[in-house]
Amino acid sequence: MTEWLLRFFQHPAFLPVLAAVLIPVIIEWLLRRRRRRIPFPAMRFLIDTDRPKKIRLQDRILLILRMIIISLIVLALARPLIRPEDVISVERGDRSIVMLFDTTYSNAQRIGNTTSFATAQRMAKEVLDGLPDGAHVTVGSVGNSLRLVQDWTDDKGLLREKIEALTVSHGAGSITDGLAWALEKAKEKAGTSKVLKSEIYIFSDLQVQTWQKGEGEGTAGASARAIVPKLTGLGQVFVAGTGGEDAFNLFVSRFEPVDKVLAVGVTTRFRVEIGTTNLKAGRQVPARLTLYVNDKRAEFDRIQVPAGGGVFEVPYKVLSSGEQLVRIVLEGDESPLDNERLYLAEVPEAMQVLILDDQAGLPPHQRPSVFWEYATAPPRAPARDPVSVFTVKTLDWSEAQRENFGDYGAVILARMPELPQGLISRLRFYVKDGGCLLVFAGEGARPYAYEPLYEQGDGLLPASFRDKVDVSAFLRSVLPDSGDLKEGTFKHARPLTVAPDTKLVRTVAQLSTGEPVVLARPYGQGRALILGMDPSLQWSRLPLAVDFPVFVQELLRSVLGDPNRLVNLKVGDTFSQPVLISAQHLLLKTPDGRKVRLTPEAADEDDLPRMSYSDTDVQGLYRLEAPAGVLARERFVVNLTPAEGDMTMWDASDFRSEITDNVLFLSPEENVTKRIKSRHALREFAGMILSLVFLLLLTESFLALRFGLRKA
Amino acid sequence: MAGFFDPHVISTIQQYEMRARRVVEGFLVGIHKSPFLGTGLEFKQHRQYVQGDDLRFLDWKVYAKTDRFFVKQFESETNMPCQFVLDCSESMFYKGSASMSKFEYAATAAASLAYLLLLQQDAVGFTFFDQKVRAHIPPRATYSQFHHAMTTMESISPGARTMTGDALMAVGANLKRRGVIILLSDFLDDVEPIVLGLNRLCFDGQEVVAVDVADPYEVDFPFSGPAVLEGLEQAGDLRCDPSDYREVYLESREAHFAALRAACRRLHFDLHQLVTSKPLDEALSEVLLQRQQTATR
Repeated sequence: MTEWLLRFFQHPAFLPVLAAVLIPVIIEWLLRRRRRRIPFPAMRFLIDTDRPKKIRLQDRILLILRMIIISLIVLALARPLIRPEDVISVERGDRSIVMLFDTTYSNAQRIGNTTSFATAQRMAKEVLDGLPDGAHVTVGSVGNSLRLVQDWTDDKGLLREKIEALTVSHGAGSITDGLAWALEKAKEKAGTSKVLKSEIYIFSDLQVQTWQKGEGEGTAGASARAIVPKLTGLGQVFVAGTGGEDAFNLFVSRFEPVDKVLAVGVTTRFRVEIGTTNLKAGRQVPARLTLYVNDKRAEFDRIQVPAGGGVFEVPYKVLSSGEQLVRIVLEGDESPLDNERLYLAEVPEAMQVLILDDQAGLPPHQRPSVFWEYATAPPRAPARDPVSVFTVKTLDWSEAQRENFGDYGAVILARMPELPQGLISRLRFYVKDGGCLLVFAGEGARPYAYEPLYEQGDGLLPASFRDKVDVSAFLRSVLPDSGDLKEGTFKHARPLTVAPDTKLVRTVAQLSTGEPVVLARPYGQGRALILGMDPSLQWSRLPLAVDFPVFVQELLRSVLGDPNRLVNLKVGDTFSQPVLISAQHLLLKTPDGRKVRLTPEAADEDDLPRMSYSDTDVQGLYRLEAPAGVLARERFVVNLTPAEGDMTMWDASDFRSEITDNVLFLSPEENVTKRIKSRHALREFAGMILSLVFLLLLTESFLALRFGLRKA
Repeated sequence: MAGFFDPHVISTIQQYEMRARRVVEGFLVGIHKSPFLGTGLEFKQHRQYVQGDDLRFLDWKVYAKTDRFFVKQFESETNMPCQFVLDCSESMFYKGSASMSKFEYAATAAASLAYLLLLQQDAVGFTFFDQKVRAHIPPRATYSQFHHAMTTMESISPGARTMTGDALMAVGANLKRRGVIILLSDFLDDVEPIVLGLNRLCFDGQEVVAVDVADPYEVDFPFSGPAVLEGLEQAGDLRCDPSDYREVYLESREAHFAALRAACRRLHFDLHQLVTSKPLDEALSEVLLQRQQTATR
């Protein structure tokens, strides 16, 4: 009842005073009782006329007028009003307003002269302008993840600053996280006695991708479809749809070199995968691809992108060594944020490969590893481009001790019957920190000597091995891009034994009997392979195969993988690397200008401390400031996930049918301030009523005087 | 002389007969013995002039012939029955601001005039009516008749409604001889029946002197303030502020009596209005003087 009265009156406590309307009636009754009785004989001169009826009517008119005046005065004191929509809170300052911004990167799309997100910011500020002073507002945003922008405050100036400072993230999170947050915030205020209704404003381009993400997986398993109706139960939900029509979009979904191992002077092909959305099947759109290397334009190409997208290659020859920042920019649509990708590559003069051969001191033709040397780094004709990115150095252990294994992309144990403890330790660190190790369990290799590397299956070696056996099967290569080797007869091979329950080991090649002959496993940041063969011709004729150099190249490339993968991340990934020299703090500069101080984390007994950073929600180049030698890599890049590339948007009717129809929509074209103001403005009638009272008083006075003229 | 006739003093005398006499005795001084001059009456005989006779009735022809003064005598002078018809309805017993009720006032006036007529050896009779004739005393020129009438008058109690027209019809039927009918009433009845009754009497050859007796309150209607006017004769009550109704009351009353006056004028009857606050001798003097003036025109 109180709530109902508060809906229509500012001060309903005055309403019982309406009983005062009976005062004229009571006075009339009292006077009636106190009338003197006068016997009079000549009543015929009174009763037979119409005068008594007329006078009774006049008296009633005056009585009714007086009762109306009293009622109106009481009503005016109670201050009747109309509250627009369903706002029924009592005081002006008790509104609780939750604002949720969709800052996924689709909101950076251009619409006319502005962007979707700029429109959202403008509308949010207009909402603030329309809210009454004292309204409590909290702001959150969902980009890559949920972020509390501002907790409850009634400082409009502060809120405007926070909203203006918001930027579109480069992430593609789920709106359900934001909706769940809004629900919790609305519940906070719903518990207080004064606040009767909240208002929840959602500023989003209503991209289908964002709103349908997390269906059944989002916060507490609830989807937007489940959360929004709960929100409407706590207050009025406004949806400001800032997206335009379903926009045609071109986006770069992948950008990386075809060959991950780069070297100076070797032409590298960069693969650009381009996706399209909202493009009619069969159509093509013109676009332009521009390649920048270290911010200098290197190549560009005009292309035709078909509906559904396509893959393009941009060749580039790196001419200098060092870390190269390669950026591809696609032009051809109105959503530029997903038209750019970065690739950071450490480009050595050449990718060095170290071959440890205890017979390295012999002439090349006598060395067991000679075939692998030549296959790894084929001789280059003068003034010709190198055909391999690899250079090779063959050393025995006594010489290799002076080498920094970290300078080598791969280390091959070609012929090492024994493994010194120092070598074992260095190999462990080397592979753990990202290096690649190939171990030939060939002639002379003593199984027990390699046992420390195997460690019962916990070591870096994928398998242990036993004595060689005679085999007569061909090596059927399953290495990628190597094709089948039709030549090469194996006479001997080492059976490889994998520890049970080891899921990390992968078979790279196997004999036709099914016995694995090449096994690989990851170890730390690196990878190790064990080959149950000998690098020389003693056990097989494989080195004589025509495709052997290709096989070696491919094997090395596959084992090396992407040496730059740790510095090429996606939004949301964690950057982590060891800190080689202890440092108290490291300063990280993000692409949006922020500076973050990072502290290396304590390490396990044998491990180096590591630094980690996971707030990678902005696309671009991240820089670490550290003394020289502290870190292996001081820069890394973060790219968008292509998930936000589909610019299919919901309009109001789509939203209603997909989510709920119990929301109100704000349009970018309307005057939002006016609408919100009128929603919160109370339309009072006390003034009008008092004017009416004044008029009625004048009327009553006039009528009383006029009726009173009948008195002599 | 008027100041001597204080109605408040007269009202204290319970015996109407005494009151009549006192009024008549005082009244006789300076006033013609026979105040009633009937119109249209027949010449009866001559009588020797005595001091005080109206010189208008001196027969100068006889004086010329005889050198002696003789006055003409008309039939009514010698034998003029006068019937006093008194309204004794409830409304007549209303006593507003005056010291006497209207009935007392009318009765005193009737007794005074009756006594006067008896002195003139005229026959007087009384009829009392309300909605019907309550008592009828035929006209006789005897004091016993007068005494009987006074006794009857004193025993009259307030009656019911006024129905003057029916009463006049009955009076007309009861009277065998033409004479003068003095009707004393407050005339708070419908005009039409009254006029019908008067017509009947006129047709019978009677001369009617209508005397309206009113209380000052009825004349002025001076009431004000919230009140309940309780009507007499079951006329009903009215809750009002009487001041709101004064104007209409006076207009309505004036219209009522204007209609009566018009009717009487048509029938060549007199309608006199007496207010009970006025001294009776003054009031009667005015009435009789008015009659005399009317008769000599």
